[in-house]
Amino acid sequence: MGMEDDILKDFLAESKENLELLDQQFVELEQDPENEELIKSIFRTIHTIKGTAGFFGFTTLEGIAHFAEDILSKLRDGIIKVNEDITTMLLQSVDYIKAILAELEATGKEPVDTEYLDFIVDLRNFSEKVAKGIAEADSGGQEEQAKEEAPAQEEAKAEGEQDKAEEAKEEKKAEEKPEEKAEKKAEEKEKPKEAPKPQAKKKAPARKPAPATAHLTESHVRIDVHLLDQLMTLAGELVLSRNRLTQLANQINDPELLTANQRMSLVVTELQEQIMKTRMQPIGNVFNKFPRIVRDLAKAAEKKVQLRIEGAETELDRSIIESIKDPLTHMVRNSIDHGIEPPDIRVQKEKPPVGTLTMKAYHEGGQVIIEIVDDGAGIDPDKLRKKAVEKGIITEEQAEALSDREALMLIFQPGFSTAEKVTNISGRGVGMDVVKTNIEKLGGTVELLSEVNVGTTIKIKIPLTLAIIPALIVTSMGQRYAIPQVNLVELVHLNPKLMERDVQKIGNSEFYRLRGEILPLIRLRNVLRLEESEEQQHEEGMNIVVLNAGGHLFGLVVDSISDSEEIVVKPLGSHLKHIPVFAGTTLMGDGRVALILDVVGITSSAAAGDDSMKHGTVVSTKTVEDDHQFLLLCTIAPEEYFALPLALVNRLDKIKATDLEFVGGKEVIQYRGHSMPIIRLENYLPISPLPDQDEYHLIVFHMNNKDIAFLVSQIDDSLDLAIDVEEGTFKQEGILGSAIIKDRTTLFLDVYQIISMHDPDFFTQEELFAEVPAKILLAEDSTFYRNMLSSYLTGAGYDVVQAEDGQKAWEIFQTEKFDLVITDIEMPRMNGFEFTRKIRNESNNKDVPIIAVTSLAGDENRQRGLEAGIDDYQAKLDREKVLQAVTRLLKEKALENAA
Amino acid sequence: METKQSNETLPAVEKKGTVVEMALADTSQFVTFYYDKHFFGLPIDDVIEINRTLDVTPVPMAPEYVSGVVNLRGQILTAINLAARIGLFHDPAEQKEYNNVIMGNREEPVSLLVERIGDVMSIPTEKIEPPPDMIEGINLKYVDQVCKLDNKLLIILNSKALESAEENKNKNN
Repeated sequence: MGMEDDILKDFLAESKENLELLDQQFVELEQDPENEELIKSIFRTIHTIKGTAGFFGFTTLEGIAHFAEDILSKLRDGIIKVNEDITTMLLQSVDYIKAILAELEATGKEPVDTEYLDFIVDLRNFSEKVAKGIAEADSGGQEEQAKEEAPAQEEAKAEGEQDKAEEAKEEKKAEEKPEEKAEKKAEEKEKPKEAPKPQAKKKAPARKPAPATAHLTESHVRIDVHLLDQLMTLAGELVLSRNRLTQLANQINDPELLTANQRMSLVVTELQEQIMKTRMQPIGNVFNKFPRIVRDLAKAAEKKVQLRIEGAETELDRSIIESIKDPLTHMVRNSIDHGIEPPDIRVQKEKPPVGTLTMKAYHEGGQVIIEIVDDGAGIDPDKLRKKAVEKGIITEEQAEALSDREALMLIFQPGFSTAEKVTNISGRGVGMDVVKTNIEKLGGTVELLSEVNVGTTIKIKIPLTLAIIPALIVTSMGQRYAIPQVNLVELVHLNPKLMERDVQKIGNSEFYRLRGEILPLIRLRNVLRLEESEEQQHEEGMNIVVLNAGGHLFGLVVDSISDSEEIVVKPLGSHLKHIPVFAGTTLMGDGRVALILDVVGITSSAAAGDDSMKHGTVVSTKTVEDDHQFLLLCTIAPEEYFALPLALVNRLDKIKATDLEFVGGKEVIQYRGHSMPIIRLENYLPISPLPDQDEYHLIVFHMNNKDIAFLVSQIDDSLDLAIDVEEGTFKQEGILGSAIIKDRTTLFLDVYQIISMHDPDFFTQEELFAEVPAKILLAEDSTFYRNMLSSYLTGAGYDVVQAEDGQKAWEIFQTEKFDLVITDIEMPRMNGFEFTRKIRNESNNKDVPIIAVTSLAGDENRQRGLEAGIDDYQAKLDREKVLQAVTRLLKEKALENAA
Repeated sequence: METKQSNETLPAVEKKGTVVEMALADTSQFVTFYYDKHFFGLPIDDVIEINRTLDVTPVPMAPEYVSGVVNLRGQILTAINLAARIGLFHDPAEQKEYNNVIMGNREEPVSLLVERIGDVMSIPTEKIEPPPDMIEGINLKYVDQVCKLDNKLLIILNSKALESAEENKNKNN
């Protein structure tokens, strides 16, 4: 109950403020009847009251607001013009609303009095009249009309009451708890229609609103956020002054002064903390209100909705929390009302009958992101286009010129509503435009992503004027930088000896062997171009901050690592916003500014700024980001260059020629207590042989629980590249294709194939080959990955058919029967999700197992994938996992068929 | 931003009276400052405050005209080097003492780094002229007007152009 009370209190406080404003606005409106902004604003206030009243089941209040809104919407749409009658009626509505609110505040219940119901009837009749266009009657006409049309009115009243009563009953259905109350109310509503008291109407509101001035309880005080802002800033200043004073006190070194200063110091620190606290709240305070709201809404709409809340602990500035509440409610309402389908339709679409609505919040850079995700019907851009043209918001040509994405944004236009009918919950074309206005007021943005039948994601980004995040402070070239703790994995300090052993330089890039994994290193000073990347003087050790940038790890080398601190994120000015490396700024305890690093930005910037990559990079024009890979470049004989994905490599090492041994006709080496087979590539590929050297480089792979290594003469470089290889010229076993890297033709090694050529049994374990090899359709746009996947699948005994995009794959799929499908997600023409959906919905082989492969496994994609009907999700390079998944799914399928 | 002196009301009068004598006439006030041998002014309404002691934290990879950021009582402002901004020669490596002219709109003010602060001057509107076709070393985009004084030229800067970030088209969002 506590939660409900809270909501009620908030609602009352807010409504009161708004209503005060309304009085003023109505008066203004009379002066300036053409003022659309004013009408819209009034409309929104009433709309909000109606909506909230609906949640609580305050039927009288809702009724009044409903009809008032009706009139207002006609004003807004320009169907009718403001006149005195209308204003009077609306002002009366406001008075009644105030009276009801006052009663609610006092007793928690709506007042039970026939005059309210009478008023609803009047209001309703008036609204109808207005609709019929009779409303232009002269100003004094109201009472006359009332007399003349008394009988008619009575009838209408009766109707109106019935409507109202029915509405009340509907709500009762939606509300489980206040059953009795609502019932009583509904009954009481039936009664008063026999005893209309037209005279009392006019005076009643004047009398009633008196209690509306009663005050809310004094437990909280509303404080202007600007005042808090100022307090905050001043507290910051105080800290600085304190610091200066402390320095002076230390110089003077007077024990009394020192004690006094110390004491002040403590108080100042606490003061600052407390002031900060006044402004920060977990977003959970808002999110927590939603389970109930969602439940009620779902009931009312006769839908089944499950709510998931993530990141409720994300702290947000209070002002933002307050302003975000209404927009969120609107959006949730929209999602349930228009997004999520009724259970029967969901079942038809092969979705679980219970829809899922996810609300999540997280910090990203200097922003808080709030997402509202539903798995409902999605929004059809074409429908929006049509609707927008119908409503005259845009012309037909404009509509055609809009991209789908832009078309989706139409939903934020005022007066735009896609709901086919206006319901109690939403759909007067108000919601989304209010949402956008409110969020833009906060300096934020709203993004809408939607896919028909898959769902809709609304992403709100709010820049933080004030958000506190834990961060690690590091130094580079004498400047401090803050790294958001979320990205932090671990810290490593290397002494010179360890550096020597574990840090490897390949070309211009450095790597560190972190427990056997190869970790690319990025030097902060290079990223920031603080120093031309000349060889730094002899270092005493190395500080590595291991960071997670959207799924892959890298090590950031900094000069020194200081403490971890809670920092206040402040945005960068418009002149500096475009620098990808920084996410914002913060003030340090001493009053100086430190820049906050954007970890993802660093990786992209490092890749772009790397000199080695500037000359003649391969990077293709159209490969999707998804296909970025760290590549290792090596040579065997001079002038012949090879590349392989670094992710496959377990270790890099150097060995002396004398360490090589021949055992049983195979070349091996004693490595970490085992004898490890060595592969010379020239034995399997038509390339020049490895020249004799004193020292060779080893590229060690760990696969299938065994170690095996390639012997090469030189490891040249490693690059983060979008891989786009050509097959053609160099197509042959063991080679996936070629590409021009740094102006040199480079062959891409098919590691799996080469190992299998060397030792056909290397990968075999309990993989059971069916008598007839299973037939797999492989859809993948990147030649490199397609060849690699195909190579190891074929190697494992499967019959693989390749397709270079989803469309092609779909065409092939219809002509043949496949036992399994492996598909990439990001592909031109038709992506993996669409392809999957096509298979699931349109083909005659609906239940074929589908594995999606990707180079970066993000949870978001995984979720979407599973929703689209993908059975499993694997990383492209992970041969073992992919093969396991294939075997497992094929087995399951076989069992199913057998059953 | 209200700029009171509109261009139309400017008959380019060639009078050479002193500023003080004409104080009673229709005047505009300017905050003045120096950079190298040049003398600049900004309409007083565009200036929020002058601050002599703000530490500039350098921002790597920033546009050349941005010296870094400063902390003005908890608000972090971009510090724009006047010389670099308007095209005057300046050596970024040179460590100089700068004064901060905090200017622009209150939503996002910027700190303009100048060498020396001058007086606030009242100048009769009629003495203010459109800029000449060329001022050596200065990009005229940033010059609104000029005023010929006894022994020097007061270059009245266009604060909107100075603070505008439009050159960085690739915004973050």
